[in-house]
Amino acid sequence: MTKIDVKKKVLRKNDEAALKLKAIFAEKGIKCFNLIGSPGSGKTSVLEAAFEMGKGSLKCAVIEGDVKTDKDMQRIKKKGIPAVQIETDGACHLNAEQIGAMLNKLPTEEINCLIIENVGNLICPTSYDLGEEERIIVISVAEGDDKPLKYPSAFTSATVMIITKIDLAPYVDSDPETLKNNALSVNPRLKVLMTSAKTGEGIDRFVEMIS
Amino acid sequence: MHEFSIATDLIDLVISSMTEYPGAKVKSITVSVGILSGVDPEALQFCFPEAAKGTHADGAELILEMVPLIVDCPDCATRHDGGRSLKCPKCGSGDVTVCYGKDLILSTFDIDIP
Repeated sequence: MTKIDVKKKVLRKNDEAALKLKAIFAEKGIKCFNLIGSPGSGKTSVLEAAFEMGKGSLKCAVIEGDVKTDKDMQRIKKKGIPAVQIETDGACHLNAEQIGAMLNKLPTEEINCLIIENVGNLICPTSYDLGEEERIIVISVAEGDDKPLKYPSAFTSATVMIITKIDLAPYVDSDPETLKNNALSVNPRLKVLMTSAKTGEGIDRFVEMIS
Repeated sequence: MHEFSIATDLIDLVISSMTEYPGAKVKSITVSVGILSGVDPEALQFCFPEAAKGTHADGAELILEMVPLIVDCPDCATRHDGGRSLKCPKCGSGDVTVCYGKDLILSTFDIDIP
């Protein structure tokens, strides 16, 4: 038997595609965000609230990822933001190649911010770099304050955490500060935003981030 | 379950690493699974045989080695097992650098050359 030494990352094809995307974004002056979170965490709603608050002042475009339908793309477009939809038909995450294939459908010369809303899933998107500068993990107060301890891979892969639906906290026995501290115990470098798309609380900080 | 597409990527990487041995059969593949890689080793083990069918890796044994999260802390100048956290277990610093434990790596594979 012959042993062959390799020592290469299994997902190197995606990593290479992501590096190419990083170079494209740098060249065009586009800051890219990858939003991950459970289904129903409030990713699309927090984007809608931000685009409403920042109307007229933002130069963003959005790539939506869902298993089925283009409903989320339609919601974003209603806010006057260019958006395209990737329907994965079953795949639980987006990959860098899919993002690359969408760029010529967006006005990349006119934007300074590209937001990718990943498929709702707290496990699979962790492993796939999409060329983003910031990975935002979106988690609602209804999901359990101990969630960051249960999903360390997702929380350690992110650079920003947006806590959503804080207006619901009293009704779902959540303490957003506990949720925040649990996340920081796993990843002390997370920038944390507390928001409510319903009341608008905290959305201004997200608008600042994507401006 | 995306471990099937990961298994396919793994097999593609093995095949592309054995172009010097076109007729060879893969007997075993050793993969390091970082504890924070986001990959479920059981699911990968489950998907591998199906992904390998019809390829040079058909019937090969998949050996998975779990790799802990090893971090370097600049504040206490030591290397630690970080558990499942990016906080230094000794001094609590958040400025650690990850050395190992976040990736899925094809380490080696064994082939029989006819």
